[in-house]
Amino acid sequence: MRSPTLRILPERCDGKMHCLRICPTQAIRIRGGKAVILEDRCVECGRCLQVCPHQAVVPQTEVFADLERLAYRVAVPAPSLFAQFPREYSPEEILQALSRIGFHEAVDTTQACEWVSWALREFLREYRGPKPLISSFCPVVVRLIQIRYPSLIDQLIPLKGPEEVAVEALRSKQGADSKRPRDFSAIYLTPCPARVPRPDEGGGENPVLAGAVSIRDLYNPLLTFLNHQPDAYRWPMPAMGRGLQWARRGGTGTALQGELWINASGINEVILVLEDIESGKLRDTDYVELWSCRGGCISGPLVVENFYLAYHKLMLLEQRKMQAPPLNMEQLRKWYQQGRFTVEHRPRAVAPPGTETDLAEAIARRRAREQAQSLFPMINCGLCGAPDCQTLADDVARGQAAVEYCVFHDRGHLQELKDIYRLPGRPEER
Amino acid sequence: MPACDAEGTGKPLLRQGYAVQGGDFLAGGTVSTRIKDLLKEIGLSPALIRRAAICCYEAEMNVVMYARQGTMTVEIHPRELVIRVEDEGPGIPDVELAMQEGYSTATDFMRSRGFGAGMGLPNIRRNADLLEIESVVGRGTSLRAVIRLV
Ligand SMILES: Nc1ncnc2c1ncn2[C@@H]1O[C@H](COP(=O)(O)OP(=O)(O)O)[C@@H](O)[C@H]1O
Ligand code: SF4
Ligand code: SF4
Ligand SMILES: [Mg+2]
Repeated sequence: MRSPTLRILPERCDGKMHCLRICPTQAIRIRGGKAVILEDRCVECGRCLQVCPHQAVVPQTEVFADLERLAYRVAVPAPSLFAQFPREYSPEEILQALSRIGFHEAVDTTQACEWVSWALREFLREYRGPKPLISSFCPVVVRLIQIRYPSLIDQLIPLKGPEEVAVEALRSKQGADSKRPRDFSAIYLTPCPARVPRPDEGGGENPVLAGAVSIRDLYNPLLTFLNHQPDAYRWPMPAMGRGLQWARRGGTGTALQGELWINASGINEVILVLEDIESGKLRDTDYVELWSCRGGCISGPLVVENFYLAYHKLMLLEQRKMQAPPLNMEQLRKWYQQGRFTVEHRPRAVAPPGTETDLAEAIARRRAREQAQSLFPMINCGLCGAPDCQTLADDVARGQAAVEYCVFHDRGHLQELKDIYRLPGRPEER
Repeated sequence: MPACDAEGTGKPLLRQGYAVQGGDFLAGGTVSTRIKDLLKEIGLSPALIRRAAICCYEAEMNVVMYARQGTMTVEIHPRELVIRVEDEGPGIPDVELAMQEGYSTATDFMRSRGFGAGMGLPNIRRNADLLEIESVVGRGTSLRAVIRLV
C-alpha cells in the first residue's frame, strides 16, 4: 500500500466532527473520540486540513530547514506561488529570491506549463478514442477516478505535469561546465498536499522530485527577504510567460484552438462532472479540465493568500506585457515525438477493500447494506462515527462496523460518548 | 448477432425497476445514473459498466424524448445483465429505419439540447450483446438489451 499524504495527529484532534461531513468521499470516521482517515478512500483533497481549527491534519511535506541535508537544491515553484505576495513583487523577483533563501537555483516552471499546454493540443488533435479527454494534472482528480470512476481511466490524458517536465528538461540540458551537479535535488514548492513525491510511487532510486515544501512554510522566509532587500535583483530578469495561468482553473487549455472544452473546479463540482461523463452526457466535449480546489491550485490547501485576492493578482500578472521568449516549436515537436511529455505508467483502478469479485457475494453485500440502512433513522447525526447513516450501513455490510455503533441501537455507546466528551450529566443524574 | 446462452430468462439475482417520465428533460438521465451506481456497488468491471451505462442512458432518453412514460428494469443474472425499457408512446413505425445511424425525428428543441444525432439505438446495438425492439404504433415500444457478464 502507498504511504498516506495526510495524517491526523490524535493529540491535536478534539473529535468534534469539523472534518467528518466535509470529506467528499466519506473517508473519515471518528473512533474513540478521534478522527481517523481511511487511506483507501481518501483522495487527498485536503478539505479536512482546511477546515480543522486545530491543525490536526498534517501534510507530508518537508520542513524547510530539513532541506539543508541535500547538497544542491533546485526550487521548482508551482505557478500559484507567484500570486501569494504583495503586488509590488514580480514573479521574476520571487524566482530570484528563492535562490537567496536556501535554494541554489530556481527553475521557471511556467515555461514548462506552456510546453505542456502545447503538448496537450497535439494530443487532442491526434486522439481518436472515447470522449471527453480528462485532465490528469490534479492528482486528486486522478485518484478520484481510480477509486470511484474507474471506467473513465482510459480518458485521462497521459501527459506529465509541468513540474516533472521542467525538471527533466533541466536534467537533459546539463552541460559539462555547469556548476550544477548531475544529481541535484529538485524540490517542489507546493500548494497541494496531494502533489508530494512519494518514495513508494515510482521513480525508484532517482525520483524526478526529491521532495516538496509547502508554500505556507516558505511564505515567511520569502517575504522577509523580499521586504528587506528590494534592490537585490539587478541581473537580467527571466521574463515569465503565459504558463502562469496554470495556477488557476482554465489555465491548461490556453493553446487550444477551436476544440470544445470546459473546466470545472471544486471537488464537489468535479464529482458532478465525472458523474455526467460516466453517464455519457459530455461525449461531444473534447476536453474537460478538472481541479479539486475551487479556483484551481491558486486556492490549494497549502497556500497563504486569500483566494480572491490571489486570483486578482494572477489576473494582473497575466495582463503584463509578456516578454517571454517564443516557444521553440522545433524542439517541442522533437520532444513530443520522443515521448518526453508522455507518462510511463497509466493510473490503474483501485477497488476499496471489502469489494468482492464474486457477483453473488457482492449482491448479498448490497442486500446487507440495504437491510442495515433500514434499521437506521437516516438523520445523519454522526454519533456512530460515520458521516451519515448510509455510510454506517455500508461499513456494517463490509464488516467494518456494527449496527450497535448507532446510538439508537445501543445506549451503552451513548454512555461511552458521554465519557469521551466529558459531558457532566444533569444535576439529578450526578 | 451471437445469442446469449441463457439470455437472462431465469430468476435474476437482483431486479430493480424505475419509472421514467416522458418529456421531463430535467430528470432525464437520473434513472441511468442510479442503475450505474447500482452496478458500481456490486462491483461489475469498469468496461461492463460503461457499456451498460450507455445502453441505459440512450434508452432512457428515448423515453424522455419520444414517449409519455415508461419503466426501466435492470436484472442481474449470474451470466448476464438484462435491461428492459417499456414505454407508452407513439411507437416506432419502422424499427429497421430507426436503427440506422443518423436517422432521427428529434425536434429542434431536442437538438438544441444536444440530443437527436440519431446515434442512440445504434449505440445500444454496439454496446449490448443482444438487442430486441418490439413496437406497436400508437401503443408503445419495448426494448430489451442483454450484456454478457462472463
Ligand atoms: N421509445 C421510442 N418511442 C418512439 N420513437 C422512438 C423511441 N426510441 C427511438 N425512437 C425513434 O427512433 C429514432 C432514432 O432513435 P435514436 O437512434 O435514439 O436517435 P435519436 O434519439 O437521436 O433520434 C428517433 O428519432 C425516434 O424517431
Ligand atoms: S483529504 Fe479529502 S478525501 Fe482525504 S480524508 Fe480529508 S477530506 Fe476526505
Ligand atoms: S487543484 Fe491543485 S492544489 Fe488543489 S488538489 Fe488539485 S493539484 Fe492540488
Ligand atoms: Mg435517442
